[in-house]
Amino acid sequence: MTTESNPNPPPSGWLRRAWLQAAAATLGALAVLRLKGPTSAAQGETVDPKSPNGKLKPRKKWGMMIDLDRCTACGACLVACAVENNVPLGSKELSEEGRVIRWLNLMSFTEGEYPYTRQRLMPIPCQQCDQPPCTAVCPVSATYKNPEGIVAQIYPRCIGCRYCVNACPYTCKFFNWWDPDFPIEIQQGLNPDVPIRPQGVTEKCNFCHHRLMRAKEQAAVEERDLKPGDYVPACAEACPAQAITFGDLNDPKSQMSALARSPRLFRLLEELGTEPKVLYMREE
Amino acid sequence: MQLTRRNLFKLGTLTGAAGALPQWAQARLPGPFNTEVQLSPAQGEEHWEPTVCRQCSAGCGLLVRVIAGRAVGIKGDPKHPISQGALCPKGAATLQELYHPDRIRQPLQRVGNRGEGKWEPISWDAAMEHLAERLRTLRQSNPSQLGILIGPTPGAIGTLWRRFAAALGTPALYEITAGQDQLPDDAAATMMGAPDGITVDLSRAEFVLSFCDWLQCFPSPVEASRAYGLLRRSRTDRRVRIISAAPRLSVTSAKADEWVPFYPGTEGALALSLAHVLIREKLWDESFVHERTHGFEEFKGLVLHDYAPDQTANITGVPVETVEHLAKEFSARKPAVALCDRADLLTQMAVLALNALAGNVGKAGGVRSKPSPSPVSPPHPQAGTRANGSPAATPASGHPAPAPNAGRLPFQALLLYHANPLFVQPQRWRRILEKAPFIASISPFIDDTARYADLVLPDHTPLEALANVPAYTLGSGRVVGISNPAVKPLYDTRPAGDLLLDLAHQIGGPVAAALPEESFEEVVKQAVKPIFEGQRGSLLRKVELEEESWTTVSKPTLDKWFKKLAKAGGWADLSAEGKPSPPGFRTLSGKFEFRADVIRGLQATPPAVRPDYPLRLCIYTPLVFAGGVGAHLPYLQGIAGARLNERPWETWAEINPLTANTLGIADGDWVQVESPTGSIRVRAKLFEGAIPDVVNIPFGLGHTAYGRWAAGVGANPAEILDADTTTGEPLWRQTRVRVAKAGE
Repeated sequence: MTTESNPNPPPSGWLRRAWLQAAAATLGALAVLRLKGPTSAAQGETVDPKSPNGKLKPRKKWGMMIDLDRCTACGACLVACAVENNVPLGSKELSEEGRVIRWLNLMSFTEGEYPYTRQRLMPIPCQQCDQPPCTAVCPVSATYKNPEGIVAQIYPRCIGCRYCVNACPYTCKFFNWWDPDFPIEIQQGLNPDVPIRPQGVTEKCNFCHHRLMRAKEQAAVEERDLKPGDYVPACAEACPAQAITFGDLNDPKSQMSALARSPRLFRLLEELGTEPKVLYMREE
Repeated sequence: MQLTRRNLFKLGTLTGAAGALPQWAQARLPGPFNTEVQLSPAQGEEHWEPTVCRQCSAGCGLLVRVIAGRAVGIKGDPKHPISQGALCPKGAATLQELYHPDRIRQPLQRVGNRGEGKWEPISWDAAMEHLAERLRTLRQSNPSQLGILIGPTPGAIGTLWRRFAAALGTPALYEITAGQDQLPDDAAATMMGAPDGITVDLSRAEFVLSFCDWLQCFPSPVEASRAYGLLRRSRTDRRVRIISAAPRLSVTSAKADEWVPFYPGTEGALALSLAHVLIREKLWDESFVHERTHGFEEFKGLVLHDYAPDQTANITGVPVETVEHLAKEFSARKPAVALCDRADLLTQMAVLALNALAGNVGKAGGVRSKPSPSPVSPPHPQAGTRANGSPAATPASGHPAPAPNAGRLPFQALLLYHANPLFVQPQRWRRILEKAPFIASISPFIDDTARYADLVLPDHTPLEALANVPAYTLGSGRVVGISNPAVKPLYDTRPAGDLLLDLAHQIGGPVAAALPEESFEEVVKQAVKPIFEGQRGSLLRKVELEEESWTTVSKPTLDKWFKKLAKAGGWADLSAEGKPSPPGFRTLSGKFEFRADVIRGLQATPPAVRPDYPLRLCIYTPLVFAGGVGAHLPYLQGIAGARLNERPWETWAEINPLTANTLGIADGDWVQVESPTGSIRVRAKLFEGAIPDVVNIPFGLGHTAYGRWAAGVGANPAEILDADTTTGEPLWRQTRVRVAKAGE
């Protein structure tokens, strides 16, 4: 008998033993962590089973920095994102209905009167909140914050209630009102690493999570840790102005952390307490 | 279902409910699940093929992700000195062009009326024979009645077209460009003796004064963006100041430290008024002007006499104090660079003169002649003789473009290659095309002009065909990218280069003798041969050929080297980066020439004020539609108006709220923009970045054909351009319009 043929087998002898062993191991590990003091798993540290000496290493916390003083609002990131993530093509009709899906958007704020007009242009991906309002309202846990801080969306689990779409203060979640219309020719060029979302589910930027999984697999094959630059989302990779930096906010030596100490730093709608992990640097 | 009273009632309620829905919702009632992806995802080994982006002629390097023969991803080539691993939106959308569902899949012959869009497939043999026969007879009777219209064609394919035209004996070869910012670098030829044009070493400048929307065009948008980032954040002590003079709040103006609005088409006058202040206040670089320029006194006389800021203020709309403060800022930092796009000759010359006054010509961080591939060339002869300096169609051999109202029949046959004159210069070419008895188009798409053709020969798209793309970095480094075919051709198409050679062969006689190459690959190989022989620069990446091993050490041959070159994705020589150019200019005097004689002839006369057309039209090209190309790709359509929070998939007109108020127009209203030559219906966008009394309309939408995503979307402002009464040139920057609210 295998577990595959019956999803809920009555625990037979060997299986029960395995269960108990696994449980004991987990408890043991937790106990060890507890003994090590305040830096516990609950506070964002973990034991990497592959790391030498089983040393404690901080868990990754992925973040993005967009330097508006470099950004030229060219839109390369917008298109690169759409191509990478098989985002629906959009059409005149969808646009008229206001239902175009764009995981990464360019927002503009025009201030002042002619001739003293100023305009601010900002690319806005999902802000990857550390306290995401969208996950709290999901009745089926289809959207959640994963251990490395990425706010993800499980499409097969999504029931299309759109609570999260409404909860997002940054309007960065999108509901598929219709099936995406990819002509068969266009389907040839779709990214095989990313699923296509059907009608009735919500989708959003997930920091090109499939790239993280690939990078991890690659690192595992090469028996090493993830290096900076192994994992970069499509927008950051495409940016011609090098305005988008991506990296681990928990790594004090990363370029990301260095930039996060800049006095130009700000976060969108910070007062809401969402603690976005997409950080901006203002123009000077 | 049994027909009972109860069931009938149920049915009635259902249909009634559906009927109550609005039209669009009825059409959208959930149908069968159509995401069922008919194609399974590409599986197999992944491979990144180096190639070159050809969405514009900047020549950025690309890497295409190929799995199981399918192109499924794209990124910038990190080894390519222009793109350095990055993309622009157009490059990123290239896959959509390759897999566009409305590509032409085999040669087509017109069956219905012209422009009706009715076609029947025809075999390549029959099509080629038909075309060869036409050209053969025409060559024998009157070859000058063959017009050849080509789009921007960098590299060997452009040379091949020129050779083909010469062999056929026709002088009428025109390069069709969007016409407002893609004109020839005539100022560089006239003033610096640099027929290949100039590079502007932006990222090393310490002050930038811009007269164009350079972030959206300059010459590679990828490199322009990178330069911007470096200007702003690479200096440790300060960020480089950027001032943008522009007829609308362009992207560059939005990113600049200061926006100086001026009326469209008057940048030449504005730049010369700056020169006036520089000279009057003795802010110019004396040593450079005395040692390395010629004709300064005459230029000084002209500028001091005709271009005082108070004289130009009512032409440009820029107040005297602003001009004075611009001149002071421009002269305060060195190297300061002034830049413009390839606009009309007066603008180009005036801006180049500013750079010379700042002593910033031939230096790092300044304007330099492109290093010519050939080591020596004679001084450039008198240039600047082109009428008004703005030939929207550039004749290859000084042959003037025919006026659209030419009484006689100008052409017996027209051959088009990646050119869409009915879209970019509709008024100029429509009547010529109407009169031509035979039109053949070589293009991967049925665009506006191909729709009007009698014979359509489908070309490969860039990701399927070989090409060489020479380009220059902003710092004057030379690059030759090799655009490798990333995937096998999807349809029964032929690469234009091989098609041309084939055609020449079929025409026979001296034409075949003039184009003897076996294949286009041979043409490309010959084109890059000087690099092989020159022994300079290096391949973009280290490559090894399979047949090579440590046991066989053989002399490098051109064939072998070419294979390596293609595998490496290209070659670059960056030795000129960051260094001053060799002294001397290839002009008759050997110095930089101010050429006041030419400038005097170009003096801007503002268009006559017409009370019935009180507003000025300013047409601009968003990056996604650069060159008038891009509307056929949905991802590009989708972001065209993002910057103004404008809804995509329609054409808008930016109007200042004050102007809109007096016209009774609200944001989002449909308006009719009317010029003496025509009228278009667009959506009003109230924008504080529009100058009062100037209407800004983006160019790139309003196609009549060009695939499902472009046809019938938006309106084409080129349709309402006024034309120069003598030359027939469309007046991109001088047309006047009126705007009125249109019905829904």
